Amino acid sequence: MTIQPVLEVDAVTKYYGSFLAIQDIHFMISKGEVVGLVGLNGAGKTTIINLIMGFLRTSAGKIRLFGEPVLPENAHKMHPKVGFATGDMSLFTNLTGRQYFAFLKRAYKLKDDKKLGELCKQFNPDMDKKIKTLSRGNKQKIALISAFMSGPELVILDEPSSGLDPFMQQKFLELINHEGAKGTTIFMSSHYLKEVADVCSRVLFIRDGKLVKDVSRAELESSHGKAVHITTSRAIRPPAQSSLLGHQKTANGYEMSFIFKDSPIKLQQWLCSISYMLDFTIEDHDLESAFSDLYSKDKSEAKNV
Amino acid sequence: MFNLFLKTMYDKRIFIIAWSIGLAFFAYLMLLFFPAFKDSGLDQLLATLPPELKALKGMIGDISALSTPSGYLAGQFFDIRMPMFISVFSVILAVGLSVKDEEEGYIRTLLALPLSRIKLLFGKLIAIVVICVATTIATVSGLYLGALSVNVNLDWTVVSNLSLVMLLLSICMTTLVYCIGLSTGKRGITMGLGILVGAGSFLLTTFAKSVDWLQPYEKVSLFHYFPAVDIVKNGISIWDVVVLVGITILSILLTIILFRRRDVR
Repeated sequence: MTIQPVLEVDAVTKYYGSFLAIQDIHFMISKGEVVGLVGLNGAGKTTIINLIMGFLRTSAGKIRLFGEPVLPENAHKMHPKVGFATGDMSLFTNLTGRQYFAFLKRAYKLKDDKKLGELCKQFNPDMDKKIKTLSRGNKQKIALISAFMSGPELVILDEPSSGLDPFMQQKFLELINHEGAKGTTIFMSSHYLKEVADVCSRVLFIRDGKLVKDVSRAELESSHGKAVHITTSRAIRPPAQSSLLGHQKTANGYEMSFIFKDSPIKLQQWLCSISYMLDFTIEDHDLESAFSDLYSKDKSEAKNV
Repeated sequence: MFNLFLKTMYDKRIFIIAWSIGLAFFAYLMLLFFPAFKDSGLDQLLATLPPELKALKGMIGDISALSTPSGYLAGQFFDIRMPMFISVFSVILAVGLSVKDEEEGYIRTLLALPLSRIKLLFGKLIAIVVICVATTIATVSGLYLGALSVNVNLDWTVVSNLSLVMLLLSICMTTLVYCIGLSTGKRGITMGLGILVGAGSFLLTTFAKSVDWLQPYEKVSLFHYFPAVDIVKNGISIWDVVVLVGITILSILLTIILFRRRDVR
């Protein structure tokens, strides 16, 4: 028996007029997965999320939520099972937080306030001031609570933690971990790789409207290592347990960059064994470095995360 | 849908109160001026004018029946001034509920809920109808207070007929602009077409009485279907009602097709 994916994005392309926003995007998310979508501003993250929510119509390809095709005219049928929030969500500013939640409660036909109460206790938003008078952080707390208050099966978050202070950001990550552990499927976009890496079981990387990487948390963690840049008088091979970033012949000799993923002692032994060494540098290679490698247009296309 | 209707009414409460007070006060003032017009002899003067000058009534309103309160209200209040106010009212209300809400992201927030686009359309549309009814009641209340102040007996059947068709015109215009807004999502197009319908109808109806070649086109004007002076004389024409209701229903049907399918940003 096959498990029905919660979300399927199948060869989706979206044009805005003649502008190609995203191209041939494929991915699936299974029940209980916490998946991050990472990319620079303008990469197409929000377009993908808007298509999944049914705000936009695909130019080509199909999206299915809970096995049903998502189209602007029928997306609402799936929404009782979907929670949604964005970093700059347009909350109804004429209402207070309390009135806003009462509106959502009626919209979702919720019978009790238990979940809402728990979330309010956790985030402590200002409930009695009009939303338009609240700080960005307080508005963001209300947006996040609204995404989870109906106990949805799938939560879609677009840049959810922007505007939160570090303390609240930590609480938000705890909430994602807690909900993920309970089996809620979560799909969130962010340009903070660390935030995504901390909570997601899988990360999708998008660049210029194309999905360039789909990596598991284990693969992400294995991308930690030492970035080595070495100059030698003769061409050499990189050591085992390394990922080559690039190599070229320059006026100074042969330059090569790689990520070494084994122990520092083995790296030291390997460096000592190089007879033609002219120069070398070693830096920590973390997730942010991997992200930079992936998005640096000056570097080659084939990069290992 | 009822939830959205209540929220829309709450959001628009200042608009409803301001327009209701404004229209009621305007109606009250118009009746306060009636005694001055009643004995002015303007209607007798008009009767002596050559036909070319009589054509000016398009610009100054029908002054042939100034001696009766109903004739005065039809010619000076309902015939030229109220349609102007209705045009402004329609564009402000309809743009606010459609493109402005979309630009501010509220439509997206609503569509993220288990709320269909059709229910969104009708939730706000019902609010439009109720707001139009509320402002019409306020206008009639202003007339009532004005009539009491100057001790004038109004023919309430005539006032009811005029108010009913005025209500239909305001619902028709507001729905039309609202539907353009929801169908296109573009402020420029919505405002432009809204102003074109309002100002165009006003100019066409007023100038067609003086400009012969405009007369065949006057039926394009929405104000053609609110002939206040004729309503006083002959009652409500069923065809005027059919046209106004027909345009309203057609606008809604087209919007159901277009808004259901389009991108909301």
